Amino acid sequence: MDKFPDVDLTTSVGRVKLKNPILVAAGTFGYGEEYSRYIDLNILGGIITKTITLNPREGNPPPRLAETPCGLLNSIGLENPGVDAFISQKLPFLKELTTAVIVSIAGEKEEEYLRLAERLSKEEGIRALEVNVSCPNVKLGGVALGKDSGTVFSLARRLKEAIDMPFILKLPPFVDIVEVAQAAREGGAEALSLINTVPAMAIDVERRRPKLGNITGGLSGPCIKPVAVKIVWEVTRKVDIPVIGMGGIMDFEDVLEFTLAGASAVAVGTANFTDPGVSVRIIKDLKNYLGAKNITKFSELVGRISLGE
Amino acid sequence: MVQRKEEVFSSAQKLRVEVVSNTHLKANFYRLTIKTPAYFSKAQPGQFIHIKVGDDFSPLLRRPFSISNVTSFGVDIVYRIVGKGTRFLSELREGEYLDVLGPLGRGFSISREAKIHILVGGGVGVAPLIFLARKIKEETEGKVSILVFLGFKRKEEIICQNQFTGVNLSLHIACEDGSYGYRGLVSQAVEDYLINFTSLSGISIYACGPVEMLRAVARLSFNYAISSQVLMEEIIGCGLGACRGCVVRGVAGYLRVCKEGPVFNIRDIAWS
Ligand SMILES: Cc1cc2nc3c(=O)[nH]c(=O)nc-3n(C[C@H](O)[C@H](O)[C@H](O)COP(=O)(O)OP(=O)(O)OC[C@H]3O[C@@H](n4cnc5c(N)ncnc54)[C@H](O)[C@@H]3O)c2cc1C
Ligand SMILES: Cc1cc2nc3c(=O)[nH]c(=O)nc-3n(C[C@H](O)[C@H](O)[C@H](O)COP(=O)(O)O)c2cc1C
Ligand code: FES
Repeated sequence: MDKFPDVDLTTSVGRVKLKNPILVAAGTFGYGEEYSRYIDLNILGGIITKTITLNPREGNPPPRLAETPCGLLNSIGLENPGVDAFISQKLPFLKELTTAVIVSIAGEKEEEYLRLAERLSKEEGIRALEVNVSCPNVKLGGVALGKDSGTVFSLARRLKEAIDMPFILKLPPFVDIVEVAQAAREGGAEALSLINTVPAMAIDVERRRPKLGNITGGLSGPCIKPVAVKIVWEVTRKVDIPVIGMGGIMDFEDVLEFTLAGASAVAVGTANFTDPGVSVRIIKDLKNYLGAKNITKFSELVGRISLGE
Repeated sequence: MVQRKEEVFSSAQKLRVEVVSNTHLKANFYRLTIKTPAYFSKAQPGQFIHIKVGDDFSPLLRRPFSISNVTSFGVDIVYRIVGKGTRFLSELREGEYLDVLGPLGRGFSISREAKIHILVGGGVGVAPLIFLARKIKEETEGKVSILVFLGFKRKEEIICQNQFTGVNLSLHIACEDGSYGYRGLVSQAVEDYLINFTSLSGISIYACGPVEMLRAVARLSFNYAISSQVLMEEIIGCGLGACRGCVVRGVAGYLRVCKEGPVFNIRDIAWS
């Protein structure tokens, strides 16, 4: 039961208003429907769908997953059915939800992002786009686009001119993050998603082979959380743009860490594999925590880290 | 499509299941029985359950196990300790609780035409075949013959052989080191047996075990034009078809072990 009905969990990420700050991260939640037998999707603040591309992509060779201490390595390689199939097969289900639907997109070059954005901005039921310029598992586009502030500025500017729908840029870690974030803001991005997985690898010593079919992959889960918190803190301190924080969130205290660091909302990724109900539990726990502390508005906590000065 | 709340919450609650028993079989093999909700009675042989191992987030991923039987007590799995997760399972006691998703994936489809069903298991791959043999018996009312071939490394690792009984069922055991039964690989034992047949029509093969064994079964099935299904393993992430982390190479693109599988027709898999 709702012990604290007066606690206000609403938050906004630029023009994107959310009923609560808990979203699910791209690539870890499919297109929502896969989890609908396990949780009431409408409880979520939002769903960020698996990244889609203009044409279908078959993804990388297996094995695509390897577990590491408190972490998960993946090299999915953006396997997806392409935008047409997304619109005809996945969107009808998502449209019916009352939770915010944010569609993640990626391309190999600027033109592809623009065509995807123009196409999707005409569809009903999409609240915003997340523009993935940070996938470590593809040869073209991905991290290569997201690390250069000039490229990011140009992409953001052209998207801003092309569509009215809010778009959020998802940036890679370990780039000149403040400079790239500034470029995204100046280009017209509504917000930033921080962070995508951390480039990493693992080796099977018996077989003397990489554990992933793609050799390298992206690391997620609790082991990257401190890296992500620092990046969120640094960016929100230096650049005036809202941030969706993510990386290793497993419980409501992790959410608060990102919130205090400066994130206006967060996304839960790998934890969905451990427990498909984790996001719903986090929302409940967060509300109870705030209620018990007499904090009536979640959004008041954003960026309220005390540095002891 | 509007979500039916009732269903959502009832299935979410049912994730917590009670341990009925956890029996040491031999060597590092165990059988776990959990009390499951009624809908598990619809489980198919070859489907799996995805178990949270550990009380916190280490190990991070759940672990998949084939359903080895569905009884009035609940669901059985047979497992072998190979690492942290399976060790955690081996320490569970009666009355403790476990967090389980399932039944998941697509199981074996029992051939309606076949008169002879050949079940081939390697090591702990015997687990789903126990359930499958029972289902074949139930669905065909004893009108077919079931040949079960089980392969193990050595005599000390032979498990579950007394789970395969019945008038129309014959059991053949192979040990790689020759310490019991047929000396050599179980796939070879199957092939040696097939040579005695005058006609190979009406045979259907179902296999579960190490990938090398499955490959050998696929090869002999192609050679003798027998229709076969195999249970494939990969590291499973979400288990729900969402992450695309569990794929194997199929002839028409990647296939998800947790969704299109874990049981596949050998024709759909790219073996090379
Ligand atoms: C569909 C399916 C059905 C299975 N059925 C059975 C069964 O009935 N009985 C049984 O004993 N084993 C079964 N397995 C294998 C079982 O899941 C692994 O042995 C188990 O996950 C090992 O966990 P661990 O922590 O003890 O070992 P770890 O130390 O984590 O790893 C040992 C090895 O187990 C495998 N493994 C680890 N994590 C996973 C994972 N998340 N998903 C799949 N494989 C993994 C890897 O090959 C790894 O090298 C099945 C696997 C699949 C995919
Ligand atoms: C299996 C898997 C697939 C992912 N696929 C995508 C993707 O398609 N697009 C994307 O922007 N991020 C993708 N990510 C990254 C997550 O959205 C998230 O940024 C990252 O995993 C950090 O959060 P976490 O530690 O909570 O998982 C993926 C992560 C995982 C584990
Ligand atoms: S494990 Fe996620 S799709 Fe199969």
